[in-house]
Amino acid sequence: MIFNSFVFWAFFAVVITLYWLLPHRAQNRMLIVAGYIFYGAWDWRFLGLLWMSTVVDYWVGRLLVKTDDPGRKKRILTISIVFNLGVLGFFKYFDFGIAQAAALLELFGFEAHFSTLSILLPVGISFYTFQSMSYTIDVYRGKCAAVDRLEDFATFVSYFPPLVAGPIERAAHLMPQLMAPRHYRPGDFGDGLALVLLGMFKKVVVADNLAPIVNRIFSTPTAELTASDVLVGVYAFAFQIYGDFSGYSSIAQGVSKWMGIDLMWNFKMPYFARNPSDFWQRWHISLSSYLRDYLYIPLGGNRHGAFKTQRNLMLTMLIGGLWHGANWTFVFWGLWHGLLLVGYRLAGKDTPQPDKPWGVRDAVAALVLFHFVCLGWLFFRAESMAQVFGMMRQLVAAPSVTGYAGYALAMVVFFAAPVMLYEWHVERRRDLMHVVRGPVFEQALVYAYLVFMIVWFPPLASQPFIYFQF
Amino acid sequence: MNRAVTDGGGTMAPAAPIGAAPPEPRPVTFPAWIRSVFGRREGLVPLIVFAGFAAADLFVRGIDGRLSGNYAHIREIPALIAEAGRGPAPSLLLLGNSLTNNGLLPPAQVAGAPLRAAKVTPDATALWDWRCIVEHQVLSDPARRLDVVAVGFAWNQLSDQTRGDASRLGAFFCGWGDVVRPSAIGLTHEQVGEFVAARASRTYAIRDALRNALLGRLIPGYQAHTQEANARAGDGAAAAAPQQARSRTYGALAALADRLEARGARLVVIAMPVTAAYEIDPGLLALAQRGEVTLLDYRHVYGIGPGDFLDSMHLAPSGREVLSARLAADLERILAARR
Repeated sequence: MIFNSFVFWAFFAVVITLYWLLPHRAQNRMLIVAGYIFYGAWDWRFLGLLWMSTVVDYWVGRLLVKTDDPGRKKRILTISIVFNLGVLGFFKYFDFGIAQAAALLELFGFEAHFSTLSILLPVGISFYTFQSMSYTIDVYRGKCAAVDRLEDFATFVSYFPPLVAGPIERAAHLMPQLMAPRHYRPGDFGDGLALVLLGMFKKVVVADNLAPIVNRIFSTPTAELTASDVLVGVYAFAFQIYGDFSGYSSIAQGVSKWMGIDLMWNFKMPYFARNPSDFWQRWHISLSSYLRDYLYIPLGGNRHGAFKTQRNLMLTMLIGGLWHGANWTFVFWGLWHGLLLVGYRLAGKDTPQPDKPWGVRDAVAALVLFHFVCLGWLFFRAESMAQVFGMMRQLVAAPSVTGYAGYALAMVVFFAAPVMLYEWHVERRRDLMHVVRGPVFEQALVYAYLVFMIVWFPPLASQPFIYFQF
Repeated sequence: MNRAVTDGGGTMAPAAPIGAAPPEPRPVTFPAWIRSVFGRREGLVPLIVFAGFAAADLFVRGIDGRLSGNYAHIREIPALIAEAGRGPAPSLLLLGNSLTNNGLLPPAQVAGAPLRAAKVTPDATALWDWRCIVEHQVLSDPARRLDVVAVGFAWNQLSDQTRGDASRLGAFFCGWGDVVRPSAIGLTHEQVGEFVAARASRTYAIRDALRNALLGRLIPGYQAHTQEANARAGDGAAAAAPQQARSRTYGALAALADRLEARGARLVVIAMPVTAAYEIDPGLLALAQRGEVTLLDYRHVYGIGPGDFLDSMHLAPSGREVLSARLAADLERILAARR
């Protein structure tokens, strides 16, 4: 059940109708049922996993508030972390680990006959395990109260809009909203509609129309590609993954608004970032802030000198890369972003971005950073490091322009340029919901454009959300 | 990493100071909600956009016949079938897609009598489209009388496993009542939404034509690259799907043949020639052997060679001439047998 399907909207029509007819307690119970239907629509066999994660972390939360002994608290929290990371590790990294161990042994001349388990990855496992784990850590740290009732915690874990692709909500932000009665707030309908329309446009029109171009270029043997093919393929992927992921987040935010619930912003015009640090405050904010709060700062953050700060940054980004999947390409993607952050810091430019109008230097900085980010996307999208190096080689070795590259570039401009123009406008206004607060004529024009594009330009074949696999 | 601003309000300004209590929301009744939303800008703007979309849709509905020859042909289908099924003379409904459109012409007369014939061949159609056309244009009207319904096909276009195109079925060939049993028109439950949307909005239904027309003008090489992408997708799907010939069924075709027979019409299926060889499924052969349908196998017809094709699938006029003569002879035999 994906957001850009009629099935989801039929499901949501039933949910939202019941939701506003029911009293608070029944609303939450209905949300649990809706969450399990939503998740079970992909594969009902993994519902048990969602339930286990809920039960374990609920009990860990209960046990944490029953003791004041710091050592015992730490041991109790360890249960949650080991369980969640264990589940994640088994489903996501077991086969990869076995394959790498075999490769390592063979490197030293041993014969390795390990067999992988071909484990099926539960959709969105990285999102809900992180979200559930944030609760126990926040209860441990005293930042969030432990819930009394299992069904309250189950509502938090199975809340369906961000369940399979985020934003990764924190208990301290989402739980109080779920525990309190919701009332219709003036403006929620309009804000939700704007977010849903923008999200649908980004997913259906931008991401899914660029997907065939990306798929074609990344499935062509690298020796047959020219520099122009590689460049356009990477540009197309940059906008595809942005449209896909931010589209999902935007729709999740929008449907939540319609239920009177605010989710955090996951993207804030990331391709207008002017430095690596700025980029990570705009891209997948729920993960970057999660890693900052639960990994970077506990590792020491920037409190123990330059070397340890750089080490902590690199470790955080490496783990962020590995969070995306069990492949060396993700590790190198994380490494690349770690290097960018460290390099930026070493250059002595880690001060916050001043809040001033854009100048030529800012535009050049944003353009340069965009290309650094695109190099990262090459790692991210490629199937293997051999493909990464092969495509990089073609950038230098085959400097010709093909007809396909011209066509693909025109498609990228046609579909992605309007998003960038809109975001440039929002960036200048410093208001992410400018579309609902700007002039009525402008809003009607933007909505009409979005609706006609969604109706006229759906992809030739619907594509699943990229981040479901994480 | 610096601290990210993750406020829920959408501004990029620093978050409100901790401890500042948000205003307590008041409960709102449903009528008050309607007044609140639609009396305000948040409801007004969507209403304006919806009205604009509805107006555009009406406009498209009015002019879609001028957008392409195929849509013009779809518009004339009811009149064509009504005309063919109205008289005492032998009558024929020749159904198919572009293979039949290019490959066959119904004869002007059979056994010395004029033949009332309707040639209905909308592009890219297959079993479920043809079934809906017969259902809604032939079987639904007791006064309509046809002697033969002939369907030109290739590959497995007549099998139950052929996927229905929800937009095409919803917009052009089926009715609202068909949505109750989506499997009866070759759709899955997931496709019901698309069917309903296409039935309600012509703009949505013909989105591919609008998209191709616009991008064909704006994007260099759009048509060639899109065709290539479609071919790749088709090849991929074919490679992914194992040989399914043995599991293909023809229940919908058999049911259609029964209903036509009850109305005095014979269902004839015509295996059309294409340049690459294809097999006729055992299930369809069994249906023909049991006499439930008449199968005309035109895959290899004497007098039609590679030079008689426009491309890999469609016959050129020279091929059509040979094939149409063959059809005229076979029709004469079929009609004689039924008299």
